Amino acid sequence: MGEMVIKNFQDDFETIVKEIKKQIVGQDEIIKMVLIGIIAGGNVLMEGAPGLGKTVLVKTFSKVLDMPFSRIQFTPDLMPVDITGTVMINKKENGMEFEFEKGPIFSSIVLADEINRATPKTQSALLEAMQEKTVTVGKTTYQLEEPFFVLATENPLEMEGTYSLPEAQLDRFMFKLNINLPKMEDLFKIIDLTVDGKDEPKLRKCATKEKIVDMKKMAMKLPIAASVKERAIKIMLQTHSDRTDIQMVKDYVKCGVSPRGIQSIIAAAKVKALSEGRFHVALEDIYQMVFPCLGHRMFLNFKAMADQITSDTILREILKKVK
Amino acid sequence: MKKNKIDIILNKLRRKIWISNIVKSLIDVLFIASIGFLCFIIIAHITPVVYVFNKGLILITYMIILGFIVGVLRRPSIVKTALVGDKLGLKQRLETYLEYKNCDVFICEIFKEETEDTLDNFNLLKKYKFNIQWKKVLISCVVCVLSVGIYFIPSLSMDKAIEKQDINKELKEEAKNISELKKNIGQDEEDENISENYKKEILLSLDNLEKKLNKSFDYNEGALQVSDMEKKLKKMNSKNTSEDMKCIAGIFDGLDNEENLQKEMFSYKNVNTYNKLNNEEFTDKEQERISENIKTMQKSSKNYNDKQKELLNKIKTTTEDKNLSGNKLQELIKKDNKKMEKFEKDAQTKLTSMKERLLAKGNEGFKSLGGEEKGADFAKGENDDHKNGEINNEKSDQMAIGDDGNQRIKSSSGVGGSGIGGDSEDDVAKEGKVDKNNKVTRLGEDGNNRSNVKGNWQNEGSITNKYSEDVILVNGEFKSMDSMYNIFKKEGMEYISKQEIPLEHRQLVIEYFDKLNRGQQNGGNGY
Repeated sequence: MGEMVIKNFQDDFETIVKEIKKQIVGQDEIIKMVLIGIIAGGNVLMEGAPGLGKTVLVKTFSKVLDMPFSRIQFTPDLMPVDITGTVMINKKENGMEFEFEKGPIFSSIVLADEINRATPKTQSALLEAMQEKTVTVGKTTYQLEEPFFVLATENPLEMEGTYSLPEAQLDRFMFKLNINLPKMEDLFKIIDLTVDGKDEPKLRKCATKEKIVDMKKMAMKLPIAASVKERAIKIMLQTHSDRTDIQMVKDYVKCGVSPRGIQSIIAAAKVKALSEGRFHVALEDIYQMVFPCLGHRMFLNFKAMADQITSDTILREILKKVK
Repeated sequence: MKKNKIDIILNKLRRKIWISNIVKSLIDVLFIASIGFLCFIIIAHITPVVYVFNKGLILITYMIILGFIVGVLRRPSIVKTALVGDKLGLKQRLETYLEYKNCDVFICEIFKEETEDTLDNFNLLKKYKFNIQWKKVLISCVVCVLSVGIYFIPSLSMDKAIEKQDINKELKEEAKNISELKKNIGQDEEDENISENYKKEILLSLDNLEKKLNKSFDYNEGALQVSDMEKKLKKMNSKNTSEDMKCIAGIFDGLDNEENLQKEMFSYKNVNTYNKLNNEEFTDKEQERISENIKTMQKSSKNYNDKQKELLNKIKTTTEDKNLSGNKLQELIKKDNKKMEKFEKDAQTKLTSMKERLLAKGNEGFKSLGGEEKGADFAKGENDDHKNGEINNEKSDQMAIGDDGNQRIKSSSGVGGSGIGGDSEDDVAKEGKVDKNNKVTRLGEDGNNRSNVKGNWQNEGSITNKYSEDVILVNGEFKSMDSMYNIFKKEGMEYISKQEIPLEHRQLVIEYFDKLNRGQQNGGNGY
């Protein structure tokens, strides 16, 4: 069984990507990364200006993957109970009864749309679910079903009416992907697909939730050389100003990457290797996962903001050194 | 255990990397050695360096050997090989393989299969190319050619070095004779009786001499070494015999004259010094006692060497025949020493002729180098060797090596005595104050006999050989003496004047000169 999963991994991966590409145009890399995140069991945060197809992308995933899906539209007045659910009083024949009404979090794919429009209090409602895959309401803790992952979208921070995500929240996202404007030819295709009156592409379910769980299990067993792991650790350590000799890190980094960052890199690199038909993790897998995995986990100081230094710039510097 | 396909490829790659390392190392070393060689040649043009070309070649050879050894030692580990392979495009497959080689989880098996498939389509060995730095090779060759070219540019230093080399070659030839001499030791049947210690000591000394001659670049230095060896040889024999005598002195234990006899034995310098023994007569009882002493000595735990044992046996046999006397004992000792003396004489003869050759070569004078006239500077005898006494020569065609004291060869009048002469004139050479341009009266002229002249013939102290011209001759034999002298000067004087006259031949020499003086005991030409 496992052997079949591992041997067909690349095909299954390609099939899902191909199916999503029917709907999403010009975001091939983002599709792959989201799928890697889903299989690796991580949460994905997508940042981009409105109208770039973030929400459509997640909705398409929910259509292609045969698993429960729920969408939460984050607004400033959204309350935590709106996410987790609440205890309701039901009137029954023999009297009144308290019953827990599950919120939208009790799904496999949760779309947290415009997550940074909610207050930090509401955003924090996702913390437990994202990390421990449990929800605690009152004195009761509910276990979420596997697979569970949050696909969140956010508008760029400088936009009106946004609250930046707290560090702890950000750290729980495996990837933060920046959605950019598609290329010219892709925009043509988008127009053709959406406003030219053509029929919407028919999407078929390509993978069940069991399959996704199996794929994750197999991927995590993939062999990885110690030197490759070591390289990932070195990269992570170089993000800490007290553990590096890179001047840029010392100057601009307020808080380096947590060990969760390495876990994310390794897990994502394993899935990536399998998705490319390799049965081991290569260094290039690690290097490619550095930006989506670590960029949002590194917190820069005011000086960096003043000098317009981004975390990607610093990571590039670190990679130059480590490579 | 059947080797995995990946392992086989890894090992092949490892070998290839290894060879590459050796080649790289050799090229690096060749590059360094060629520059070293060039420096060597340039230095040789500034200051004389003997055998510079050979030394340069040896340097290159050693460096190449060193480079090869370094290359061999730099055998890549299998992990390093895997790293190299991965860098060629295998994306950490080999490294991961080495880590999960023994893992039998199915995903690892799949990984191994996939790696094997990849290696089938990926000619790893072909992809790894030898990194030969042709530039370095070319530069090294150019530098070597340049060095050879520079080597042949004539220069004063180079000429000096070549001359030294020629001298050294000749000294090496002489060293071969020493080697022959070493081989001869112990080959004669009689030599077998020479004690092992003595043989060892001789061989060691001859070894040293051979080494010194091989390293020497000066005839005089070589001659000096040979001269030292001569002396050493003589001392060795004397020391050995003296020890033998001390060992056997115990034969006189319990005799009436024990103390005197033993003292005589202990005071051995050479066999001729046992004068007291000559007059000694042993009674039968004393001979019995000696015989018993010998028996006791033979039974004792003391280790006597072959020579001592043989001598004891002979004395014992003689005492048993009641035939032992002081004279007989001296004869036995002499007979025993003859073997040693024979060897010593042979060796001495060879060494002496060697020294003579070297001195003759050294006396050829100073060759003018590069057209410079140098001989003139040395015409007044400025060639001094202070290493072991003095060498002084007033004529450019004469030279001597000083021994323990001072030796001088002079074209002067009179006979030198002991000590070093000053520059005073008209001194009478009684107490040996004769030197340059001195006018001296001949021996016996003023009634002195030879005993008045202090100083021995090149034994201890100083000897000054003088050529007398204006000496009044007793029997008017000046002319004939002069002609004799000329003959002697040509053939023998050179030899005599440079040699130590062995003490035991002192009498002979005195007689010789007596005959030269036509039996005039106290007269002659003052040689």
